[in-house]
Amino acid sequence: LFVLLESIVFPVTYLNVSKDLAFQRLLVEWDVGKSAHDAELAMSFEIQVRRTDETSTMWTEFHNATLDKSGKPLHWIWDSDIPLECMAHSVRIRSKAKASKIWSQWSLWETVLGLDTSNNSGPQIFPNEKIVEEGSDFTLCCLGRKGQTLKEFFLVPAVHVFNHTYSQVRLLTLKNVSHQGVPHITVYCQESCNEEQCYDHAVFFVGKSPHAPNDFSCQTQDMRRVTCTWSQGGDTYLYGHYSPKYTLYEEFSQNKVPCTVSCSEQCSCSWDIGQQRILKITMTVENPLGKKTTTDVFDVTHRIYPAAPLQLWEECTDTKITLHWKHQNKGIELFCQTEVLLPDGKVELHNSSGTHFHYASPSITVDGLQPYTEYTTRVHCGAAKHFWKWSEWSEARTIRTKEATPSGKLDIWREITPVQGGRNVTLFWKQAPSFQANGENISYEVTWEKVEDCSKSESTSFSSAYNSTRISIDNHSYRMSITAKNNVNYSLPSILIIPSSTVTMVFLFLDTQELKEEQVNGTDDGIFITWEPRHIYDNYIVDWCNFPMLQPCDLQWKRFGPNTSSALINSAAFIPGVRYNFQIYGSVANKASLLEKKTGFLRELPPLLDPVVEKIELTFNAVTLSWDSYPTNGSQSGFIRGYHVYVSPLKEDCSLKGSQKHVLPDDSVLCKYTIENPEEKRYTVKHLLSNTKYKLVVKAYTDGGETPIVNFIYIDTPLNSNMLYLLVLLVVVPALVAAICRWKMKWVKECCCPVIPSPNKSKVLSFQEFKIGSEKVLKISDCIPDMLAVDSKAEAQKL
Amino acid sequence: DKLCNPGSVFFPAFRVNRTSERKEVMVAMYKLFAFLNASLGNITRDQEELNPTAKELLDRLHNTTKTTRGLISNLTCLLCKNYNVFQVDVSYGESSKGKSAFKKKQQGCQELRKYVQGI
Repeated sequence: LFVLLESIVFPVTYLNVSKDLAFQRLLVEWDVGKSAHDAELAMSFEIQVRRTDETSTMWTEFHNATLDKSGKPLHWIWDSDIPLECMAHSVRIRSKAKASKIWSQWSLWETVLGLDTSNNSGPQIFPNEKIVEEGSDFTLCCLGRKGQTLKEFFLVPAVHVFNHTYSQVRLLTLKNVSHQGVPHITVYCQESCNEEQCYDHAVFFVGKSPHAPNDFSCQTQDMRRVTCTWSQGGDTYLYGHYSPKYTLYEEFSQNKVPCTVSCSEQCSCSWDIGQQRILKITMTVENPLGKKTTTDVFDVTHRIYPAAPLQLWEECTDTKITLHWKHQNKGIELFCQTEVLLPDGKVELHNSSGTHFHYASPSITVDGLQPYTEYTTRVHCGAAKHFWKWSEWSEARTIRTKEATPSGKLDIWREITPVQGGRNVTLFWKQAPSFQANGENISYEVTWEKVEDCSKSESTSFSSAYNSTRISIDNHSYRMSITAKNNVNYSLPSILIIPSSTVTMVFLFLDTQELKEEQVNGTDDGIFITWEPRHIYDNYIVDWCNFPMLQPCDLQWKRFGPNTSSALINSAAFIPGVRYNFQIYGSVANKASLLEKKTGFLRELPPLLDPVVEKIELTFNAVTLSWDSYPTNGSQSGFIRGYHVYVSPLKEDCSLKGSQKHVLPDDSVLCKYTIENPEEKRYTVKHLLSNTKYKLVVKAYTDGGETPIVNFIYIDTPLNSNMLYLLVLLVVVPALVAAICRWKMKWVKECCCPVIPSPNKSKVLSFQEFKIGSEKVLKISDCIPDMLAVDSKAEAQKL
Repeated sequence: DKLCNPGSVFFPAFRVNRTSERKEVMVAMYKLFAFLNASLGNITRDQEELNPTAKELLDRLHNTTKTTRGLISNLTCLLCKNYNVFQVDVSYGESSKGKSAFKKKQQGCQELRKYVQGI
């Protein structure tokens, strides 16, 4: 039998092919002989599919089946990638027993035709309206009428397609279809004519299958009605009746959930659950391209999302607020929390002590609050057992605590001005950082009394609009005090002792004798003040005027603790170029003593005024400039650090000895001399050339620099007189002498050197002892002649 | 453009001119705007279904529908008050409901083109 089986074939005896146009697939049914069924053979079948206009087989598949004795035919389904209407499809099959190696003969091709177009009124596009999944491949066809050719077959918007043309059919294949950013793609097909019936059109939609929501969740407010919520997920590009549809199903009761889905930002669906406590809800989202499901299994008692508390009301004292509200959730034990928004913007959460059922009167008390201060509160609650979520917050309620006695103290300071018979004391006050008004209708009560005689006190009240007052007192010591008052009570007093005027005079004396005003530096953040700490003082006070040039000068002060010895003083009123004077006081037992004085600028500016040269002393090689009356005190916009003297000859670059080169913005050059002592208001520029024009200027400078050079002084150095004298001595006098000598040469010669041998004519020679009578005689023995000559002239004969 | 050719679509005839009686003109206008109102309803419904993301176009359709309804209201009052006309027979075209997506688009486009031509 085994040998027989190897050689036996069981050909296909029956083959039927039909179309399922809804699913665009071929339904193939076939059978082999009864003997194969009786033998319950395991068989293999080779199935081929072919399209009419294609000669080659376009699909081959092997199908295995074990026959049974019932004789039922075999079935197979083939999904077509092109609409079956487009062309005829044929199927054939051959068989082989698994034990055999021999295939049967092929069956004949069994054909199902495409659409019969003989009665068509025009071309037809298939599929006519379809939803295609993004990323898939898609083929359309246009069938022309018999005798007509297809002229146009295209898509709008244009996409890349693969085109196939058969006799009366044109195919367009789109691969990896994309959405194109348009709601649908329109297909156009036209035969070779222009009448309306020569066209057909179709539309298809490219979309996505729905996304399974990942936040599907169900909860209840009252354990009777359950609400499930979820997000819609990404865009499927399918709208209207193709948009995703949601259905909910409860698995344990096997019932469709009777709820209506509504979607805006989120989707939700609510229904009554009756007595059921454990639920398994499956949510299915479906569109024409697919469906997805997601499930939530839960115990209703574990999914309580309470309603927000209602009707808040409060009781309060100066430091405590007790909030009350109403529960809406009957029979559910809740645990609640209050949020308190503090004035500084911080938020505090306070839990309720214990849990509440709806019939109790739930409340939360918040303690440790500030008097007369607004707090904004709200409440939310959650299930006490099996907490799931906090409810929504209740409506916020803003509550102001009650008033209380003002806390802390006022900060008090003074300015004392001696007048005839006493002093004028201007008292200033402000609220210290530790001061809290704790109420409204604040007023200030100022009281003053002599220290030695407290019975005669005087007082005045001021509204909160006031922060200073002037009090005239005599020369005794006084105690000044100030308290703040609100609707409830007075604050603790702040006290200042004004010493008697004799003591004040001593301080003034010490002030002028010993206290030097020290210069301090400004920074970007203020003026830095330091002082010598002294251990006897409770605190230190630094005071200054915001507007030193005005009256009143807007006195300001700051207090510092006993361990502080420096401060960065800043004020919105500080401006560059203004000199601020600071006084540092030490205070003990409410008595202040002046300790140090400082002065400084926030930022120094160049001087307001330049030195005016009052005196110029000129020599031929030097010039002395004086500016004695130039002020170097507080009227300047910086501390005068010194002076620069600039000099230049008019026509040359500077080359003066001892100076520095200074280049002006116009590239001209000056010689610069620096004087580093602001009190030195006189300077001599040396090494000038005589008889030369110079220009000079004197500038004062501060740490803020100096003002630009604008106006010069012009000088002309005189001629050098010594040189003149020398000139006269060396040239003129000898010339004069020479002239005179020449003019009187004969006389001089006769006088000094008469012709020998008449020495008696010489007025110069006078030899008394050699006179014989009146004649002068030169003794031969006194003279050793060098040469002897005999003069034969007549005159000599006479001798 | 060919597809939007309004030639074949139904539209109420507006066979009046400057010499026509005012009452006739008002009646013709009433028929036109009543037809347009119904068309806009179809077009808006189809647009919401086929392309709900085109917000600007939908807004313009809604606004045009509101204006049309205002005109109908004024014409109703005018016809009643001035001409004692309480009822006008209006012919409406085919509804686009049940038609293919392409046909819905084409019909809407043709009706609007026809309206523009008439106006």
